[in-house]
Amino acid sequence: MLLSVITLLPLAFALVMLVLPEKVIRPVALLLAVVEFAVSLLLLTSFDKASPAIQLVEQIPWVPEMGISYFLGIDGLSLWLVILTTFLTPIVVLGSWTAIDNRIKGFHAALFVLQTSMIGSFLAMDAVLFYVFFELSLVPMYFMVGIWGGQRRIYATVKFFIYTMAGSLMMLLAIIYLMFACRDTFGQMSASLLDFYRLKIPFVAGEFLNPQTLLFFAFSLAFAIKVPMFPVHTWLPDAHVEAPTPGSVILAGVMLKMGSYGFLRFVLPMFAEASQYYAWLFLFLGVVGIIYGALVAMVQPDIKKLIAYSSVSHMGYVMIGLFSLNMYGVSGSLYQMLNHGISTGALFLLIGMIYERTHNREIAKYGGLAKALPIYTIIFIIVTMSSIAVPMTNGFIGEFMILLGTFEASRPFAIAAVTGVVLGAVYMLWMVKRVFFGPAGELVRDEHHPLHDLNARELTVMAPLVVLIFWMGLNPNFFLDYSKASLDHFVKNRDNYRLAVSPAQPKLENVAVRGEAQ
Amino acid sequence: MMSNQILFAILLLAPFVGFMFNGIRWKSHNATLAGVVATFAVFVSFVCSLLLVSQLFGANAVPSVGTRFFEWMNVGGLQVQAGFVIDHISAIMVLVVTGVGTLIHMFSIGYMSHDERPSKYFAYLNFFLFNMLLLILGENLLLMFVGWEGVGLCSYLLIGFWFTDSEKAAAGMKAFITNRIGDAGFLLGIFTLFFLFGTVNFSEIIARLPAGGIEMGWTGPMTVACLFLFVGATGKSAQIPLYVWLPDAMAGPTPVSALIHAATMVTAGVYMIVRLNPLFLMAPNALHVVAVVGAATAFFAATIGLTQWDIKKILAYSTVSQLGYMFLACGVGAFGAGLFHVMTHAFFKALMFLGSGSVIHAMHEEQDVRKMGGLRKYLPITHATFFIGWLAIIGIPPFAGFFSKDEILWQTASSPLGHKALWVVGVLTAGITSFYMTRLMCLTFWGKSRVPKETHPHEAPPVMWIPLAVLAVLSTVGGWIGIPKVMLGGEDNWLERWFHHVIAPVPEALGHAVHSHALEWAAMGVSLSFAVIMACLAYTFYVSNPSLPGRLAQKFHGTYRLIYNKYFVDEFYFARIINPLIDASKGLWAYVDVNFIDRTTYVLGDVVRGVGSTAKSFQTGNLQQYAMYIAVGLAVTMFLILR
Amino acid sequence: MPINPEAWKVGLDHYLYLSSLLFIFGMLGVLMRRNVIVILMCIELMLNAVNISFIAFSRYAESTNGQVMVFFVMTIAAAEAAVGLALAVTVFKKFKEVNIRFFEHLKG
Repeated sequence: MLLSVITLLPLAFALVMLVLPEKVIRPVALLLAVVEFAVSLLLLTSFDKASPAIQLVEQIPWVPEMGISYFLGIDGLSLWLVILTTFLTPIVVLGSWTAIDNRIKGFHAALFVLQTSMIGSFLAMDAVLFYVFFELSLVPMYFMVGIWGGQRRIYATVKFFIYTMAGSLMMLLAIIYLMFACRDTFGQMSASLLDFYRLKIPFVAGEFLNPQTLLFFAFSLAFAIKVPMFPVHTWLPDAHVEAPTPGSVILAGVMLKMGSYGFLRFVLPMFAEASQYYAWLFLFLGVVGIIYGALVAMVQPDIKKLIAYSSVSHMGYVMIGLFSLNMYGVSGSLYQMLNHGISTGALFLLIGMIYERTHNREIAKYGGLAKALPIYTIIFIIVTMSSIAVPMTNGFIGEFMILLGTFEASRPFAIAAVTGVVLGAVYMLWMVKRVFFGPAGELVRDEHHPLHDLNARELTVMAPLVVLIFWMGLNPNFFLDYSKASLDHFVKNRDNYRLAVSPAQPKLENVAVRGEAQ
Repeated sequence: MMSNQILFAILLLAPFVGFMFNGIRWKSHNATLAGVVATFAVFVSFVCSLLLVSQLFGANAVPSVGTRFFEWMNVGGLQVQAGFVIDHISAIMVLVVTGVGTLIHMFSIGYMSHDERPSKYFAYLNFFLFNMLLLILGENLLLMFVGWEGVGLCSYLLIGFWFTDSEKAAAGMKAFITNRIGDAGFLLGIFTLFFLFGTVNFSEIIARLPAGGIEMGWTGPMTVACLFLFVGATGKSAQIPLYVWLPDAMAGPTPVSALIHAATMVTAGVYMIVRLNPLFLMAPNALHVVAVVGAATAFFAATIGLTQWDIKKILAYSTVSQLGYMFLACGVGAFGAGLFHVMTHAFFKALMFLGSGSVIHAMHEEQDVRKMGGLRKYLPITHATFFIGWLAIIGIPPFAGFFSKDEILWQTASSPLGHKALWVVGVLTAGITSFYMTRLMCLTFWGKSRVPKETHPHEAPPVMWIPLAVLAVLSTVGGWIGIPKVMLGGEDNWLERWFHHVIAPVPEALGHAVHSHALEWAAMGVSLSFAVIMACLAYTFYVSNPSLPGRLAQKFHGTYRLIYNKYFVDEFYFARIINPLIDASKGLWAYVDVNFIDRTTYVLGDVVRGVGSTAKSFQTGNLQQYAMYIAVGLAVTMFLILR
Repeated sequence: MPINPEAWKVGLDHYLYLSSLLFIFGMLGVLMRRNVIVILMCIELMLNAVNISFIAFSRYAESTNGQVMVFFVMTIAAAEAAVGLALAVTVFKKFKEVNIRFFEHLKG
């Protein structure tokens, strides 16, 4: 029950939003989001971290003829991503308290629908269900950017939608193919991931036109666009710049992870040979993404666009970690997904806060903010340190493990990726220098609009993020322990990946995993 | 007797508590309170480290004391403990850092008394010390790296302490980024070692070194690892080609320059190499690189020091040069001598930086030596202590610098890893050092006063001169633990015995050291007399005949300009690396992102749109035309079916 | 010249010829005429052409199914004529003419 509650509760909240009067929307939304977060924390108690199996499973037939079911389950790969989602939502609600001032009803409803779709895609163990949630997430985000966004919001939102949609259609085809493959192998169609894992999909090395390679690229394209990987990343800067602050936070914080999670859940275990064979391509594109994202970020005149390109760079790390295909790299990637959610989310929130004050994001017009807004500066610099992976912050742990893993997989790529460590410092610190240090800039010395430092609400928004930055940096074991069993299982048995359903679950006798008999 | 774990906890956390205390009340203007708390915190650390180090002495001496607090990271085969250890190597470092650190904190109370944000300053300083202790005491490479980056961060914050000045903020950024280049190398070194030995723990790495497996080539894993680590060291310890940040780092408050950019942080690279000395001895080619880079940096930086006018810049280049000496020592396998020089250098360079701080304080933030001169009569204590520092750095016995520098030079000449050419460079550098240091003394303290009339220099308060005095004493006696064998009649000195177990001798496979007392005395005589001659020459130049340097500069105009402008290295980096990189990035953004990738997707969109508009033309709205389509379609279908 | 009664006997094919002829006339009218009223009449013609073939088939197959279909067609034709004429009247009211080109606004 717990997983369904966590998944569908936000959907109910969205309905609640629609009937409430405008005045109470914000506090109620905040309260409900916190409730949802609290419920999701129950996962930590009911989750057995020693087991790599999927747990808390729920399965209800949906379209039995085609083997599609409402099938939810959780394991170490998805646990923290779910909690990241529920964690960021209340922060976003509180962070958008004053930033969103029109149609707040619709906004909060969209936010909750978005939350359902994101959690659903992390928990879905059925490919069709996953696809439904994966696509559903586009709709609220489309409106979020399109209604509450900036000047070129329509351009950005259409671009975002079409890019993502184009990729996921390929995935839909691939899912249908796999469902038929299940019929051919097990005698019955199935969309269950557990069955997909058991398929033996023919692979011919060096040739493009064979089932596994094609499926691999179909899935990869969908997820690579979502991640986004170089060279299909160009929707991201536009979407980020035009999105309202909460949209950017959710987009960077969670939605990008749906792509990398897709790689982890679908591509790497299902198409083991192909992902091994084409790993070099993704390592290459990941490394190019790291360097390219960093270089382009360096010369952006707009703070938000800079952070958007830094996401391209950071997600490049996640990708090379995944495709290093060893324990260090994959653990590091999972960790980096969380880090990126927290630190980039925090950066977008901070930029939103300053934007609310000055209505401008041009770096050249700032300068000397450190003197005007000292507390803001302290927090910004802490988050910056996390973003450029200074030890004792979360960013270091992820980046270190990823580079370690990549080094094991391929030294030249690791050496190339390490330049990202330098470039990351370059673009962030250069921006920090121009925005915060030096003499007061045009916007900062404007006497008619004196800037105020962060208020209590904004501090409350940032505090949990800052705490997490240090907590994850100083005690990574706490977080890694929950995922270790799953990751270990994942890395060791990737060639012949199977996911068991945790036997500790009640009521599972009648939920026979289809095809087990064949 | 407190348990070691508690002692370690206090040792590490005292500066952290000081950091939190001052960090929380960062707005306070009370410099005395902030300073006293911060100084006391570091002093507590010093006492704890004394207590811990004392266990290495005496009858019940242990080879090392250590403790583990918790497991920091555990992924796959990588298990990293938050563990700390004091052995004979880190003992020296920890005492120097906390000891000199206490003095510099104390000095800062006076120096920063008129600053706007003294609490913030002391918070940063304490945080720096915390990170430095992590770096020194960490039992594995990863903890060292944590401290390594942490001190870099503090250095960034402290260089840019007066951030409203754009140039100072830029200097901080430059320091951080340059260090990051080194850190990237360090990371790669860690990776190589981890996959080579399956651990990042120092003692385990050293225990797992292959016996007698000296790598002679360039591509062996240990050589590569050592070279990567050395890249890290060049960043942190300001060696060629990454030294450029250190002179700029003088933008920070002067005590910071003394603590971070002279005595402690910049020696981290040397410390790291000494810590891994058995590993480096396995990779003689890497050591050659270390030695050559060290010697080159020593010489190169010393020549720049000849021409600078900013008192802190002169000291900064001197620091780079002295760090070069330390690497030279490591490179020839004389790790003990390298660490010895780290220690003596910490004493006399901290002394000189603090002395210069006292001068700058007295001169109301004036740093140009052309506006000083004759300060001896205004600042007698500062002058006296600076004088001792001067004697130490130019290597006059029995001051500290003499012993360490002499040890390095002799090892360079005699060690199987050394070379005569390196020795010559070393001696030349010693002479140049002597020259520019004497120049600094002359221009600042001696000769005629060029102090502007409106400035009234005054001697520093006791809180500032007491640290100077203590450091002066240390600069005098600090070298006596390493008196050369020949002077002791062939007996090993204290330092030799102290390092006996932790510093490996140069393997016999690499050759034999030269043992000749006569030669050693001769080498000592040559370098000493050369230094004295250069000092006298400088005195003539700048006190007896002050117009001479100007004329010489006129005569060798080109050379002078080259050296005065620091060989245009910064300009070179900007013109050849940084600006092209920025231009290339703008190109990538404009041409790849906006014009290529987006255009390509637009083309796809245009194709779809084109197909659509072609199809659109069939749909004219003319009903009769539609009916015609139906009829034709029907006819075709009929034809196909009935054919 | 003897009269061959078989040759003069009206058979199924004659009905079908008539039906096709009428259908083609109707279709050409629908495709070519501009006046909406005429077009409606032509449609009527086409429907009746179909009716003829239905009845002919019905007679020759000795089944009433075709005749039943004719009733349907006639009903629909009536309904269609009602709607079509209503549209024509509306168009006439607006444009004072019942030309087919006034229906051309429905396009992409």
